Amino acid sequence: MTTAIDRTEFFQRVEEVLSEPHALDGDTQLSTVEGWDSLAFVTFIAMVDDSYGAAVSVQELLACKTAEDLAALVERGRQ
Amino acid sequence: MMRAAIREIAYYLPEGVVTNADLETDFPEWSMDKIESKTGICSRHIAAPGECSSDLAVQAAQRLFASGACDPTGIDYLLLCTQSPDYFLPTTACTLQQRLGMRTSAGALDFNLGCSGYVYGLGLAQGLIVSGQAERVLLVTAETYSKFIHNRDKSVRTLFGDAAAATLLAAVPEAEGSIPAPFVFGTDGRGAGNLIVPAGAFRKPPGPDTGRETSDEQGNVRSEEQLYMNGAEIFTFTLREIPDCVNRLLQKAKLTVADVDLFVFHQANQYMLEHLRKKMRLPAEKFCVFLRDCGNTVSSTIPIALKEARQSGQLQDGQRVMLVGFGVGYSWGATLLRWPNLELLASA
Repeated sequence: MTTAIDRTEFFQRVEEVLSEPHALDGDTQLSTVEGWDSLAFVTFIAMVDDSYGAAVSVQELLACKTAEDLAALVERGRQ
Repeated sequence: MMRAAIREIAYYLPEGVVTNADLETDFPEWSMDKIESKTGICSRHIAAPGECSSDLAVQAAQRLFASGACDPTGIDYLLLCTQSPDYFLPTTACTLQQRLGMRTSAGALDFNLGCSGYVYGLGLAQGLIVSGQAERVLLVTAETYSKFIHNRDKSVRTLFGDAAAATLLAAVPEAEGSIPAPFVFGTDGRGAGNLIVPAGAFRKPPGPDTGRETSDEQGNVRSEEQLYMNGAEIFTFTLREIPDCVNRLLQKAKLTVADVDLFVFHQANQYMLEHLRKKMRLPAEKFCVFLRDCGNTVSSTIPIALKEARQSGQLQDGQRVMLVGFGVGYSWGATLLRWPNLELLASA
């Protein structure tokens, strides 16, 4: 069973999680994203649970540096 | 053998109120609308300086007595759930015996639980009644988390409100074929650090270091003697454990979601509740939400929601209700009752 997720769709969903508009791609450094805060973490966890059936740990979430890291985390969380 | 039934619920919210407009003034980076959309909360009641959990408890209990449900001398046993007691010792429940005018032949104890406390209290009360140790149990939940919260910590100040609720449970004759209410519980101490007041007791006694205020990455200010919450971890915990907890209870009772008339979850915040509800495919009309004007009142959210559901007509006699509490510890628990009886007919 493949767990790969569509990047374009995923980055769009992450953009919706943010309270401030911010266009994302795989190389985006999360530390530069204005709305990537503790509220966004909660919304992100809800979104990946809902849209991907993925459970992610908060520690791993905090360790993500780029948007691509987030996608990889969600893929791991689906296994 | 006797069974336990809920005879009356009363609650008390302290007079002080913090609105979202107040919070917007204190935290200009947050708007009133954002706070409401992310939490479902518009205002919280906050105890005055010197107003303790026990004072809120007395108010709630006196409202219950004023309803005519029971006289203080009719109480055999007082269970007080609080994490913000008056003293390390004596037990706050013992001081309440005197203040409420209960008999000296009554039992009284505190138990220290947060958002799961009401469900655990019902379990303890049922045990006391079914085993014949008491006929009338007063279960009081009372909390002043605001006293643990720094004014500059929006992560918790937006959510928590102070309150007390008093629930009278009484022995009722066993109906034919009736069984005591089913309970499921859960505990995971690995989550202890994610909702904690780290200092002030004996693991880390208060001192100059523990009183020093620091600012976190989000700009929230607190000392180690104040409440810290890792909201994302708490949310992850509820997503992991609560659906399973609900399913375990349904299996234990041999019921399905369709057999339950009303779900009353701990009112943590509306965003989290809505996500849990959708994840578990619970119908919105069977799902109780009441926190708009009181916030997350810790162990009092479930009795407050029950009382309000009763008054609004959402909760009717004979309905099957599931209560689910979860939070600090981690600790969680769930039970089913056939309102107002803490029992389900075996044949049902």
